Amino acid sequence: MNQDHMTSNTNDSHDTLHGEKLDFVKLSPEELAARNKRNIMIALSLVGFMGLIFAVTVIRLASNISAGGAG
Amino acid sequence: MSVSPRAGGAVSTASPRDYFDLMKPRVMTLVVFTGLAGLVAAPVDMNIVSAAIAILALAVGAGAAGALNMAYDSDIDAVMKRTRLRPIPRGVVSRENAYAFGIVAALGACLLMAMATNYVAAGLLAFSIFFYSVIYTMVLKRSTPQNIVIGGAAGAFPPMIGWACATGDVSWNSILLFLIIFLWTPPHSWALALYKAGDYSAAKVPMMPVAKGAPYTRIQIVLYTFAYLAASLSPLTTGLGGVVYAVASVIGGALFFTLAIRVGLSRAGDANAAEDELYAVRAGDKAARDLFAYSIAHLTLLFAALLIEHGLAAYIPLSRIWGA
Repeated sequence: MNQDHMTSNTNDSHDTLHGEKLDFVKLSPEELAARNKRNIMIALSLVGFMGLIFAVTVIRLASNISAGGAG
Repeated sequence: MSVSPRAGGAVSTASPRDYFDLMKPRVMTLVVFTGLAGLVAAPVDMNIVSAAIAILALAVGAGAAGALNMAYDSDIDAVMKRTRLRPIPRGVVSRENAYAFGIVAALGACLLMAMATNYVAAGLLAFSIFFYSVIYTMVLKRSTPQNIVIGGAAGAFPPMIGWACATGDVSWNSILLFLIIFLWTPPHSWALALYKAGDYSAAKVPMMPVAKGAPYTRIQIVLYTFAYLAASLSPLTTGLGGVVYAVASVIGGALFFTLAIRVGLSRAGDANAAEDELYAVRAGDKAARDLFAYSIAHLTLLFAALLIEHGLAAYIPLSRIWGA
């Protein structure tokens, strides 16, 4: 673990967990911006993937119905 | 004692663009293009939305293979001038994240392909990803000068996958399209390797010019050019290629042949001057550089001809010309 990095980026405030002190890392503006961009892209990719699966399902259903599969 | 809730080092500053770069977008472009040509040239019409989703799955699958390749090859990418600015050597993306990204993208692409088209196309896509990232990248690339000859199969799958998307099977015509790219890869890659031999040598990658020398490589380029040109003409014999394709393959092939012979007669790869950018040219290497650049144009031309003939209803069978 990179202790130097952890220390340099650590907030002054601390919480505790089971009696142990937790250091919360304060992200730099660059790290925050990059993480936000990645999160947005992951969310868009997941929504896009769901949309594509939905579109494929509709196409397959329509194809099967028109081929007489519904009756 | 204090406990960090984030044990794992610094948070990444990688942007979505860095992950996109992991997917080798320039290679993806050629994959999409040849895959689309295979899909359009197939004798079965396909729902346009399903076709678009299939091409997207093909692109993501190719990108996944590229990411896995970059993850495994990050050590040699850091040594080579041509690749040292890729996201992993730059320290922007970790190898672990690149592997995870590649595996997730590969699974998503194959799943999407299976749902949008059929299991044959999805199976071929899965196999091509495996072939490129494991057989070529992990096994062949660092062990044999025949690396790109055998490994070239991975890049030859897209038109076959595109064809399978529409038809659900593998036919002789799709095998011909596979063969065209398979036999195109050696002269294309070796032309680059001739004027980038120092780069490959520094990374200890046994490309043909490094392992066997430039003169031997130039002979192999000429020999494979004969095989490639024969393959590029073969769609004319099965009726897959019409008049437009004939013009592209015959005239374009003649220029390819000329440039390959020029490489064969040149001293490309013999010089020892510094190598800088991808298209930087040492005095003796212009012939190799020209062949490398034109080889991309020629392959694009062949598949563009198929797209025009079968996608824009411009197909005129050669028999009509002979019969006139």
